[in-house]
Amino acid sequence: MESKGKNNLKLFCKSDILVYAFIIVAIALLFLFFIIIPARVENRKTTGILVEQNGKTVFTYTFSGYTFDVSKAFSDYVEITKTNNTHTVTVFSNENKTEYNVISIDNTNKTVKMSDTNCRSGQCTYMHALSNGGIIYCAPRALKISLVGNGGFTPAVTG
Amino acid sequence: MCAILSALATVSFIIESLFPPLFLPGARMGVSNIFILLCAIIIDSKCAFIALTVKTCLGSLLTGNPFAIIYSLPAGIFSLSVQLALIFLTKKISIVCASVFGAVLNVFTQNVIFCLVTNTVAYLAYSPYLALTGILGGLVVGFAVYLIIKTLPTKYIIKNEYNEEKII
Repeated sequence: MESKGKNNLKLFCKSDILVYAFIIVAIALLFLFFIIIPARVENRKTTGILVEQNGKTVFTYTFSGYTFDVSKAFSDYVEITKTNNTHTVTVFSNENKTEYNVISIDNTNKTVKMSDTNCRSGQCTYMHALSNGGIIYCAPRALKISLVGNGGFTPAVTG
Repeated sequence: MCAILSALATVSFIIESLFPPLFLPGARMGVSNIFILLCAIIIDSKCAFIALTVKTCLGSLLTGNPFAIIYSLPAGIFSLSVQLALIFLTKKISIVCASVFGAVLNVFTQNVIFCLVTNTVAYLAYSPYLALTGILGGLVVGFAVYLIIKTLPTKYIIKNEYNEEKII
């Protein structure tokens, strides 16, 4: 037997329409301000990659000359290897080199992604490769990858 | 009962974290919220906040991402407050609708706090997509809570508002 107070414990109430309408309008506005308008404003081309840790530059990379500029402070913590047209950069976050993030740079498609990490969350490895702006952020290691020469607003959700 | 639901929320949070995210990093179904919302409906709001705090803190620590507490806890408290206000104060909003609204609000608030804390404003561009995944998660949680309440014998509902005979 249901009590009187249980009235709104059901699947649908008439007032729900207002709330659903509010949600739809709010999401439409989010798309407008964060996706549609920035996409129209952006017209710069991606020229390189910037990798930072705790706000400090780890290294920069330019697609045109395939050149790395590793900061002195991080020179012992960065290892770069090249296979075919892909650069693999391992960034270590401690002196023992037990904590690492692996960044893959595809020179053919001018994309970058976090291909591996040994932190327990590993969320950043699920992000699609950056090609037209956006950022990849590894929260446990405070490691940020962004593209240079782009507004940086287009999220990498379409792969 | 509050302890049992808190434990169930924490365990489901940990199990869910073992699976890859939905479409986007950080996007999850939020199955653990079933037990939080259930707490609010069958026990009381205070218990729901306790369960939420236990789930967020213990879950984040046990999954190896304590940093998540910084943005998950405030967002969770804020969205749960709004959900409970919609359900109990207005009394004209269904559980499913409140759950969807709460989920969207939760992912958006989490994203904003994350951007502020990590100084990565560009991440705000994910908020529309995260809001869409929030709708999906909110619907699943809302339907699950609705089905549980529907099938749960009234005697197990501790909250006075929904059960004239308080048993515990």
